[in-house]
Amino acid sequence: MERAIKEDLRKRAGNIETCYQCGMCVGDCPAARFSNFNIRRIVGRFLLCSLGDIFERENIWDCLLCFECAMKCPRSINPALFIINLRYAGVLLQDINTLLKMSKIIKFAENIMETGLSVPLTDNLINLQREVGIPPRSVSEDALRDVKRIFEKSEALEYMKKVSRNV
Amino acid sequence: MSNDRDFSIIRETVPFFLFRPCVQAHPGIEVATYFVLKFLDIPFLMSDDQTCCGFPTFFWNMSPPEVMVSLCARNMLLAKSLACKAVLVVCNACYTAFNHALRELSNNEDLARRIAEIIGRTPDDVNDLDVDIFHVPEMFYAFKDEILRRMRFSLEGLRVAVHYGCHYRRELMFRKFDDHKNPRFVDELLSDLGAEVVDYSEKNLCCGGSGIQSRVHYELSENICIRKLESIHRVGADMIVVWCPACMYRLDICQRDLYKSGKIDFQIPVLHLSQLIGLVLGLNPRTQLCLHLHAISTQPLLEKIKEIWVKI
Repeated sequence: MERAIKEDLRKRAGNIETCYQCGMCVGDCPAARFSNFNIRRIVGRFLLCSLGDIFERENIWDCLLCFECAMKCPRSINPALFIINLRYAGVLLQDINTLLKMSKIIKFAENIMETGLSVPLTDNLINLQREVGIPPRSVSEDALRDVKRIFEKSEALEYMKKVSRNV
Repeated sequence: MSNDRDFSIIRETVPFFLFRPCVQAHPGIEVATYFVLKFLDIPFLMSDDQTCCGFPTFFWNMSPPEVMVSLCARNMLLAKSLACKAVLVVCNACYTAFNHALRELSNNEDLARRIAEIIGRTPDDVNDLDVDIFHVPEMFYAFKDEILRRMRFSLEGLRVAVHYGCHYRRELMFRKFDDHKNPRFVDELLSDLGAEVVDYSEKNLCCGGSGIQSRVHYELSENICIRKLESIHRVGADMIVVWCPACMYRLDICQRDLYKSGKIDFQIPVLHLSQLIGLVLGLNPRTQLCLHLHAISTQPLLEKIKEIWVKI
């Protein structure tokens, strides 16, 4: 299973194999400045080692996804996007650290599914909007139905269960 | 320099579909944008059929990647059905989500077919979205002449620190309104409005928010935020301007928390670009810009403005 996931990652990561480990990606990386996160090392490990090795030795959750590395890479690799795909792999492999981190944030997806918005509306907000005279925010029944359909048809429900099952 | 940049296409895409943000810690972002657009007579529409752009579902790995692309495609088709040629966002995350979705769809026919099936439309609908995405900085730049003509106050004497935000600079790499490694066009816009735009060493540093970092790694997030704020404080900025509700949350609300816990000893007001433009245009700071709803009081800023601002 791990081999198949790694193969899929390789495809999604595009030209990652052209990485010559120059380290430009680390230079302006905010996570590298404030933790021992090293994106060059993670890409190197991906090319040489197993996925299990990455999950065991690297904290891929330190990445801030600011895309500074993607703006700097002389090979036009997108290391931040690679981190997103690594985290997807972490869910598929049921990596416990990945699942623990995800459990703290999964409610945003549940919010979108249930209310159409990542942060649900509050009465305070609606009252304020009414007071100042802008159209008070609401999400129509049609929109909610469409959002549910999107979550169902894209197999998001099964995916979200994978995240919460073991935590 | 700015004359070379082509912002004219933005003017031709009105009416905009004003895309309302989810992060509501600062309701003034939406309110100010609404009233500034009205004041400048820039046509726009809004709709209750709008949903979240889906940014967290992909960038925070909460659902398969198709969810975000589907939500974006659906919202863009909604804009199109209202005869809008462009979606106008007020948030860097929405900007990234839409642009990312468009890029994914543009070179992947299989994905377009799959998304069409998910949202219940034809593949042709999804292939032919034909809706552009703009953010408020480039939109205001495109309407600079109107702002200059109708401004009631100059920003003269005000030291402003500009925070572009990682996801905005990242999209500049593709949109090319400016050099993504060292963007200047908002600095120029604010200079034209009289402000003294200050350079600071950590201008390109992330706010530390990253949406999830404050939840999964609070310490890392906080250290980055402190470094950014100290760098802004050192150059004596009177205020910080941002155009992302997430950066705003981080720099305003978390700055107050850092101050309260004694980790920093200063408080710098933070405004969304729409709120600052609203001030220049003479909109009501309370009822049209909601400046009273910030964690860090904007009152000292307003008082400073009263002293130093000249009525034109």
